[in-house]
Amino acid sequence: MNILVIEDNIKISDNISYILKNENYNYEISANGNEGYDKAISNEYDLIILDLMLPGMDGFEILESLRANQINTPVLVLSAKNQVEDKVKALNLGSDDYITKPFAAPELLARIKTILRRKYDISSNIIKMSELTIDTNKKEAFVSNEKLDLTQKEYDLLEFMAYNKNKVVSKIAIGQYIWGESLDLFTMSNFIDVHISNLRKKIGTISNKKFIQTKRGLGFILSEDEE
Amino acid sequence: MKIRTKLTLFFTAIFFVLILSLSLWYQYRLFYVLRSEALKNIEMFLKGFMDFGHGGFRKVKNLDEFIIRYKERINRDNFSKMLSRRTWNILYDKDFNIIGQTPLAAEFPLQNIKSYLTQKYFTAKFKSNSEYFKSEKETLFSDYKINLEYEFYTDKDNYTFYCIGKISEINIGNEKAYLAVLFPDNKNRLYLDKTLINVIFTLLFSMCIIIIFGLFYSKYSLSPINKIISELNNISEENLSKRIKTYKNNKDEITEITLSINNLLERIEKAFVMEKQFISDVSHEFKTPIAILQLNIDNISNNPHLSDDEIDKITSSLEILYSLDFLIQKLLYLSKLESNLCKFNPETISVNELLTAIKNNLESIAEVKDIKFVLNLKDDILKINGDKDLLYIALSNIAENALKYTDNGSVIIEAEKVDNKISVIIEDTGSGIPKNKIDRIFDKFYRIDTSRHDGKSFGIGLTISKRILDIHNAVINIESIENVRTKFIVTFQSL
Repeated sequence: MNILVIEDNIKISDNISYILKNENYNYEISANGNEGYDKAISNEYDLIILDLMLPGMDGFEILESLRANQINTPVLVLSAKNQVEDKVKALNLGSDDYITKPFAAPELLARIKTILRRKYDISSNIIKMSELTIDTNKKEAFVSNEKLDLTQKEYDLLEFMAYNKNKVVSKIAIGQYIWGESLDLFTMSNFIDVHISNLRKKIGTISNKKFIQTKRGLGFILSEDEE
Repeated sequence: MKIRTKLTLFFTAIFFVLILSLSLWYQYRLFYVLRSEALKNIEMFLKGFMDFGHGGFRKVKNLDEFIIRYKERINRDNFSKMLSRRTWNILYDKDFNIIGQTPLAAEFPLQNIKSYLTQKYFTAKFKSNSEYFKSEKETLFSDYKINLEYEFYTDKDNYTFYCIGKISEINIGNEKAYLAVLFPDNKNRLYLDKTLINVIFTLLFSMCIIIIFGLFYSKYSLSPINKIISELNNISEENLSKRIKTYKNNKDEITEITLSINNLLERIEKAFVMEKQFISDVSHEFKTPIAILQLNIDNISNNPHLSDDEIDKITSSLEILYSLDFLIQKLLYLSKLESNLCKFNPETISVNELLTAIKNNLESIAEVKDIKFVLNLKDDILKINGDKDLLYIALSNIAENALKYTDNGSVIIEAEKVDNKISVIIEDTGSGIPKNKIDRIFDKFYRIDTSRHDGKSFGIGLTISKRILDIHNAVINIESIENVRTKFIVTFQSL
């Protein structure tokens, strides 16, 4: 997978490249709007991660020009702007997803994977971890072929952890992914505890395996092997 | 009162005074002219009467001769017929005893003749015996074509008429007599009455015309102001770049006002744009470093060789970072609210639906903390006017706080309608708020217990709630007993 990152803040692009490298994606970084646009138009990428505020052409202009030139590479927009109008504008111009800064590494990864699966990997829309199967197309989860009766939020939570399997997912990352940024820490922490415990209970009625493990106060890991 | 009405009334009043004084002057002049005409007639009559015949009365030697001649005179046929029938002619001796008189004078005697002596002329009012004129009409008046109705106008109910007359002193030798002459004055009075009525009607009519004309004219001349008002009403936060149309060829006050308003709009728009830009800049400047920190921490936390102590530190850093981000977000939100940059879309909303959504959303907190969380809706339909999203935030913040500060017991949300008000009551059995601190809990970052820094400050949530509820003209009351309970009562105007 070839990914183009157009982001002028080196510290952020460094972190993004670290995340992408760990997942074995190929990537290129561009710190300038004009340069990024030239790259996007002359090479073929599977995904473009695009910041909105850039020197040279800004994100909206790049997006508009790409789509005007029939380049339909999926675009994930990164932005510090969290106004609804900006999100709507970006999605209307043809971006595939929109993520506001600050974001957690697992969230970025989950969104990248969602886009890539949707666009290129239609056959493999199923995530499998021993007895646990998640069908990201139908938004259903199974344990030992038995369907789990999950609420929307519980499913989102499970899918999110599956995209980041074997990695620690902090409560903060879960909260930002599922509820956005509108919850205070106390409320969010309580919400997540309830959903995790419900999810565990539901999986527990079918399998004795503990898929979801708690990593001290930090967060949770979804993994197939019990420690 | 509208300027339009004021202007119209002002000009009407001016015209009223003008026309009224003109007509009064005209009426007075008319009266004066008619009166002098009548007096002239009397004078001429007297002169003719005295000079008549052989040298007239002026040549008589004594009063007796005068009386004889006088009686001859008024009884003489052609004189009697010509004049005696329509004039009063009375001769008095020095003690005002009547010596001789014409038939009319006999029919309608003069009273208080002495009092008229000092006056240049006098008017007398007579009550007519209708029968007299009726009978005379056939015989006497018809010969000389005297129009009775006109000359001796008798109004049909009162049978009154007026005369104007003069009494003159006659001196013959050492003797004295008085001669009174009266002419009927009804014609002139009638004429004056008619003109007065005409004047009043003209006055009323012209007032109506002026009012109507004035209303139209003031509407016409004020119409640019109304245009400005309606154009201004169409300018809202969304289209601040709009300006009021000016007409360059017109250099009146309206154009000046328009230009001043446009200047003001220009400055307001600039301030608005700057405020918006500032919030957006601040947002960006804060969020980028937070984003970097969070990514750094996330990437460190996947290192499998971390010690427990390091994990604790990472966790707490992440939490602090999240709280910081949350706080900045809320601060920016509050600053948007305070500078009215937040979109406010009022609509009819159901309080029950709103509270149910809040309850469902916060339920899991109560579950984790193992406290009772009850929603008690007392009326089926509770409708208020407000912005759904903003009110959700406002009430949810209060409920969230109640849950946060309650460790055992219950949080109860109630809604009821009393008279025209809808009250939302959020009651908890938490730690309570000391009386002297109730007023301050809406202040930014206010803590009840300054020694406690466990992250449980009211932060900014209640400040936001207060601001939103203020926008909705809702009233917040707090009743609290320390360590027993706290009650938030939010009162809205019902629809």
